[in-house]
Amino acid sequence: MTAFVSPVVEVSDFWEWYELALKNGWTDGLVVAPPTERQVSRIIEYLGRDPKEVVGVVGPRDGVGTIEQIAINCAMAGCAPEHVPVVVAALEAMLEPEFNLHGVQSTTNPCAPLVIVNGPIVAELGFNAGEGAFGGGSRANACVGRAVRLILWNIGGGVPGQTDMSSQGQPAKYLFCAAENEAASPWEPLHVERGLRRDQSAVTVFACQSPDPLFVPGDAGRILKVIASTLPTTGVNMFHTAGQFLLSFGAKPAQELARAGLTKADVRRWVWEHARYEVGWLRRSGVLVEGEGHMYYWGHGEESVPDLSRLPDDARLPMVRGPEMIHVAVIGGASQWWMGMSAGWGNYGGYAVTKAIGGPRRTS
Amino acid sequence: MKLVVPHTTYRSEGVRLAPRPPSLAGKTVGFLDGWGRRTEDGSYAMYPLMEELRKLLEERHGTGDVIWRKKPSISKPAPKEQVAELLSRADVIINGEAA
Repeated sequence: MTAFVSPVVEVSDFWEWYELALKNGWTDGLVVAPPTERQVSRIIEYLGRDPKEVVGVVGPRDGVGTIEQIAINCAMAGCAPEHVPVVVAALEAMLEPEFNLHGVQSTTNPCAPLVIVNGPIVAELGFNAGEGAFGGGSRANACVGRAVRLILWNIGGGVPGQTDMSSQGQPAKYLFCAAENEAASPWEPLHVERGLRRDQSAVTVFACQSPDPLFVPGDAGRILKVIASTLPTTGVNMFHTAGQFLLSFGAKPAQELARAGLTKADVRRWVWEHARYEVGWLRRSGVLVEGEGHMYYWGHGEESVPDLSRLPDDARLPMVRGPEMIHVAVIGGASQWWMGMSAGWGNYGGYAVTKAIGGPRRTS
Repeated sequence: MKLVVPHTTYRSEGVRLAPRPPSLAGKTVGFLDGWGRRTEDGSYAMYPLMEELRKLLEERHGTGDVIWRKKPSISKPAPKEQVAELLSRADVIINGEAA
């Protein structure tokens, strides 16, 4: 059994534990599994790492993320030891500067870190990448997503109204983990696009909103036109802050686009070129007010933006800086023409980061 | 049932406030501005709250020079160069605003 730094307490049953967890603020309200000495030890022994080893400092409260603290939170999330390297990779990804975890945790925006899992580990651990991938159906999605949340809660200290100032939050804050459906995808997997090998397992984290569902029936041309006519709306976060967004295609529309010869890169470029704001429409809608043209479109945090009120009616403005700011993944089954659009946090951060999932470091 | 419960330690533990100057008179005040205020020509000026604070400090405490720097992004830490410049040139620093 591991010698723990953290306190060991004795409780008589699950309900006493749950009350204790609520009283001490160790959960956001959802039920948490009891972190028994045995389960926490099993996780640490599986990882083969020093329980005092620091993976990183987690904002906004700058809690020290030791292997022991991570293991405790993973046990509370219901993780088996094999799930934990996925959680550790997700944490490492969130700690990269471009993710700006401190900001993601404390912003008024409702974004939450989405974890997308790729590679052989998806099948090995049974992640759900098909029907309902965002909405349950697998212990792996649930426990990894929940462990990330509890680490951000207990180690990062992202508590609503105290440090997490998200005006409304969103259900995905409870947990937000899915896998790419590589088996049904006609395209290159997300982690391969982002520089890793197909036989590697990886996580990509991206701070975003829950997928806004789009129904895109028809041939490739129609699918793209529906996307282009739906996305550029003025209330969507990118209108104010650019940044990045994610298009998560169900397998059916992805396969239809691929049948027409389109790659992920083609889709990204087409959407970037065609999903645009027409200045005349902004003017007619009353959104564009003379003298305030530079206040809204990309007006938060961008150094140089055009004054929209000086542009002609036929000027068309992109949603984000370039096609590379649009992520494409195949998440979900082939049962219908559904896809999702997840707005990112904007140019403040939360940008997608991909990390390979390390294996346990057992020596015996 | 024996449980190992969360016990987070924080990096800030043991960090103390910097020593305060006995007087602000004549002191150089650094302003690290998150927002700034967009002017008509598209450039930036001091955020109104900071601007008011600057005036109050001058009126009530007779503060000296002002160094104003706008962060490239409201949500990201200031670049190391900005922090180093303010630390080396300013006696006191206002490092944020909330309104």
